[in-house]
Amino acid sequence: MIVDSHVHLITSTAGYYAYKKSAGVSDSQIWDAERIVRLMDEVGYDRCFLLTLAGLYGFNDHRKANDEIADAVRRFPDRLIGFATTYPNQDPDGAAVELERSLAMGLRGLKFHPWLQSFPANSAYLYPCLEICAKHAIPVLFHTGTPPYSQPFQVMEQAKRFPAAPFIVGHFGKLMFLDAVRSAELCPNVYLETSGAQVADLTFALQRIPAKRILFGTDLPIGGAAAGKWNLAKLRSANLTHEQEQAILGDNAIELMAGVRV
Amino acid sequence: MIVDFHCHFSRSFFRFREYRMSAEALLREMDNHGVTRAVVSAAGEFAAYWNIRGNDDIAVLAQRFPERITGFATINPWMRGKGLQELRRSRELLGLTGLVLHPMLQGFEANDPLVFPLVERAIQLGMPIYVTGGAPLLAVPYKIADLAGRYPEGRFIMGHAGWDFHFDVLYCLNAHPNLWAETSKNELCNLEAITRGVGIDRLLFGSDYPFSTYASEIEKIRLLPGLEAPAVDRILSGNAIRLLEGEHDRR
Repeated sequence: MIVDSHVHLITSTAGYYAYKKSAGVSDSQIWDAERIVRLMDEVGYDRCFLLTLAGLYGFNDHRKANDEIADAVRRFPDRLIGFATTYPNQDPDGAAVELERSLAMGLRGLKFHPWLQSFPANSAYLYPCLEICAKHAIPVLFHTGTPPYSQPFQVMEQAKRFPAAPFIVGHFGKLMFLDAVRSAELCPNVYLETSGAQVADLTFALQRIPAKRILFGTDLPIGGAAAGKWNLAKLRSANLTHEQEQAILGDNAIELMAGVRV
Repeated sequence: MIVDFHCHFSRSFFRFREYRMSAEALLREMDNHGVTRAVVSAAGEFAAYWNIRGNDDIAVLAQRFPERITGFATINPWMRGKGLQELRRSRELLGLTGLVLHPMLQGFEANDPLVFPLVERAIQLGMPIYVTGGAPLLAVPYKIADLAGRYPEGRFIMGHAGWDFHFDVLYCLNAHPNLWAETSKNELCNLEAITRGVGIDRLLFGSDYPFSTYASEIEKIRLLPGLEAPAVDRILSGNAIRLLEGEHDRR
């Protein structure tokens, strides 16, 4: 079972692809649910955590983005696990209402991108949403690795305050991977997601934290099928035991979602 | 044929103490993945402060396997005058043919005047200058590009293709024809952007071994979309060979 814990639904190219387009990169285009599932078929992934991309930009309507994720999950319930996003920096309590609405639509995780959404990951404005996540054991996935807003230790601060919610450090902390590993070492409800990890970072982490706390992720469809295949090759070149590989590639993500009580 | 433009060898490591490398293990890995030549430099404490010992280790390796290993020197610019002496010793006595700077481990900003004398000496000695890229504040692409722009006669390599600062790399490479980018650690889609926005002529395959694996780093290049086989070969070996050979033309 392969579960990719970091995949974006791309319903609008505004924002991120502004740069990619200037480079003429081929994936500057819409990725709807059908295309995402076809991509997963092509690279051999069974399921994924589906996150919005458009909804992370303030100029887009994130409620509509949550609707789009819910719609995608309804169409492919066996393949897609939907994550919501909220905008707590404008209205923390309103964000909690939007999270409840998203859960009612079948979404089962929360995604924050502190850099794009303009708040530090340890902001108190996130508390109302995180209380809901703690109540239902909803996983919270943070983009990390781009200071000053998206640091692994900021995520750890939230994880310590809300020990009943699983917190996922996205991109393995990127250049801040030492902090990512240390956060997971210090805090049992911190998980690390492998997109952006180097092979040596994985090896380093596995000497300090159990494989149970590492989730395979890619940031697809960015990079397309090539990136999907390469991320798998990267993980498989890391000299993992069979048990570690099974856990990281999919079992951990499934177990995390099985813990959700809504 | 594959030339690895960036990998490491030292008898032990600073941050990853568990790495105890042997020359045999490195050569075996190279053989297993068809890597014909590797550009090797010191890492960890041997890059940060114990440069003389690190350069000696690299020279021993390069002299033992002259057909397979190209040794680059690593020198901390904070050594100032002693660093200049060490660079001359590395080039003339040890036979190391390039310079590796590591702003994060060595504690300086890539375009700080502190590093100018060392860069000037390396250019005089005909050595390409590899600058490990990607550490915020210290080694962002713009700073490496600024250094390259200050010395158009030098040949500079932006390590890890600027790593996570991919937004800035296309401008930097397009603005500075004497700047190359090395591929290890970076994401496939960012490298794809360079192939389209800059071209393939100044992309150099690197592994960052032992911090990454040949299997994944080579696969990444082979999976780059839209490239014909000759272009892949240029990235995997041709560009590096030309750059390394150019060293002799310049002197």
